[in-house]
Amino acid sequence: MSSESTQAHGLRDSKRLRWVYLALSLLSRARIGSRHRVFLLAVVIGVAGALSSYLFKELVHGINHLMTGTSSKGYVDAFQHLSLLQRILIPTIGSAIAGLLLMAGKRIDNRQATDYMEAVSLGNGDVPARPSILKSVAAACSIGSGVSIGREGPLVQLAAVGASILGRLLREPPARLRLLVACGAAAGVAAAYNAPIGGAIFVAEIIIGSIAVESLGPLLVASVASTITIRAIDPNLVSYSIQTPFESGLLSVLLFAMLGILCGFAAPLFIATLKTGKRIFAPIRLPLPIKLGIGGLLFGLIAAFHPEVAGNGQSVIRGMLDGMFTWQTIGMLALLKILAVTVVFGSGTVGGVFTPSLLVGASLGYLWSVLLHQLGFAIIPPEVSALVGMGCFLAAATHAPFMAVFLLFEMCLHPGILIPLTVSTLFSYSIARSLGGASLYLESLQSGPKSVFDKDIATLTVSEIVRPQGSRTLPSSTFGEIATRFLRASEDMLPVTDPDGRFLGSILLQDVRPYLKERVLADSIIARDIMREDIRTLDASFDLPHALRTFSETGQPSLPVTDSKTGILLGMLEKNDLYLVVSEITRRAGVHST
Amino acid sequence: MRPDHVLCPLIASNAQDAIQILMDGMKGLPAITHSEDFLKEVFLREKESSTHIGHGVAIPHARSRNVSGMVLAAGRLDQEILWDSSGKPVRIVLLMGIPPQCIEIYLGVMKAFAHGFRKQNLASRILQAPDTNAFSQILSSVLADI
Repeated sequence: MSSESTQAHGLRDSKRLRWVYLALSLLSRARIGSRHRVFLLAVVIGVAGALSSYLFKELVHGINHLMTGTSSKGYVDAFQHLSLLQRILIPTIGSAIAGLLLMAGKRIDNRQATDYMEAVSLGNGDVPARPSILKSVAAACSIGSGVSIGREGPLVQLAAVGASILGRLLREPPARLRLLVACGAAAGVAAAYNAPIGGAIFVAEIIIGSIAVESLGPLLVASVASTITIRAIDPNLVSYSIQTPFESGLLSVLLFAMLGILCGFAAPLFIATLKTGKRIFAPIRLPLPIKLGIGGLLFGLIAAFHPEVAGNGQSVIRGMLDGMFTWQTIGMLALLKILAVTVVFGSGTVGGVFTPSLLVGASLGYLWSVLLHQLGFAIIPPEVSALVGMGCFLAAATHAPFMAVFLLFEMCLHPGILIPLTVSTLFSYSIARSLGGASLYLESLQSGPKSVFDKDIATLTVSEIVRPQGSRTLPSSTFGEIATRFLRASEDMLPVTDPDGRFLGSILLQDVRPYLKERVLADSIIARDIMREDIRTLDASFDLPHALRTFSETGQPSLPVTDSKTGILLGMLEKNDLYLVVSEITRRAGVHST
Repeated sequence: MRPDHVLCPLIASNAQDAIQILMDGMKGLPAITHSEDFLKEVFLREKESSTHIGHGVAIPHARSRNVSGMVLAAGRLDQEILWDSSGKPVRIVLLMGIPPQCIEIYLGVMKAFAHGFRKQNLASRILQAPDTNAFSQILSSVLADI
């Protein structure tokens, strides 16, 4: 190499190095606050949720391929290529294997109920990893064998487990851990339905129970990160798009409102049917593999003559939207699907019921359009009516109208359905709520582990929601160490303790912020020089109203929590975390009282 | 802001002597409410971690309720002494007291001195100062912007 080219390379390298240095310098100057930290974690959780969803889907396809011997990614297609006997045996064997895995899982850890739907119970945010993963593998066996159950439940659960593990590793306090698990669930829903906003609203409306900005932001970030990732790696995403042009008018909106009313009555019936399945199987005292095997066998008997009931129902919906079925076939398939889901779900098979619900709603919508055509109102194309039916049935079944509108719109991206979908959804939701029945996910959410959020606000103490302190700051800790902690972490205050852990005082970010980058001070100042001894602390035995009062008196965003008898520092409590806990407890109290 | 007491030369054989002599020079200052207690706090702070900052300089200090405003005494030794807690040679000693609430002033002063001694050759300027007045003026110029 000539000296000129060496010089040119050297120049380029030095320019690159300058850019790298500039980037590192900017990065080191950026102090990540607690909100930014949640958003960053939400991105990580979103990406991880999409990856776990993809891996689960591939696992299910692999099992399906192994059992059916076909390479088709559609369960209906795979079942159509099987013999009559195979259609009966494969789901029976698959369900029995799933039962064996569930039984093994229960022996390892008996913490969770066998229900496994799209809505995870957030509890304290501590979603146990081993039983959840074992149940996911069991679900993969059931779903892979083609039984009528949704795969979205395990997708959501796996993403939530990943978020819970991350949050626990980072020692997040209960309120923050719950939010991260909720982000995981949102990522799972978004990846399953290719619906970033729908995923976030699903969790906000159904699991958290409020569309508050505080939690919606991280949920959206996780869902969007998940959707971007899944779109990049999975070419076979759910899409219910249609090419049919449609503009709604006054009459069509009125007719859609009537569809909404119809769905508002039908959805509680669907839920009641699912519960009946559970009630029928409940007294059967047989080992899980046999019980699930019976469910698989009953499903196999239906699928033997009507393989269209196989899987979650996605391909049938697609076929319906593409005009592949007559209305008679659709009516029959809807009834058979309800029967199949009832026996499979009733037997205790783990999986979701979201997509099967969509199929029922789509069928209702389609048949409504056909009926209107017969009555002389040929103004709504059946495929458009099917889409709207999906949305309003979903809203009535889940008691989550916003989620239904957003999710459906994202899945079809048809501008013409937005108004009729919104109107009919509101009608279906109102009717379903006025009938007073439970939502599809109520039992799943209520059967989750009890947490601090189920306690009374006056009996819950600060010690139960405190964030444990990580590394310790001693009076002799140097300014360099203190600055590093402030720059790396999101704290506004560093508590200082003696070597035995007794609280001495706190260093406030507001005091030292202008000097954090001063290297000349790194060794000449120690924590004792800059700590404040007049900082109020929260006694670990304080109840939440007392803690709220203390926060309002001090105006501090976070306060140290100590044991009043020993003076030992137990950790820190952030005002935002306290508000999250209080609002969740208040919300739950409101729900229970109604 | 200017030093309250400047001693040139400061005659002391060790750090404790140097601190005690500078403290004696500040006795009677209205800003020092309890000089004995303040002195104890300075020694306690010294015990916790050495206040030797390099360049032959030590800044013994304490944030204390026994001072109502910032106080500063400075001394220049003709012969270097070994600063007790660090075992390093020292020729310039700055004794400082700051009320507990004045953290920002404390950090500002420490930054000004640390910059001065590390980057502006402050130590040699002090060592070459012909008299107490010049020494005092050098310190005042360092503290001028605080």
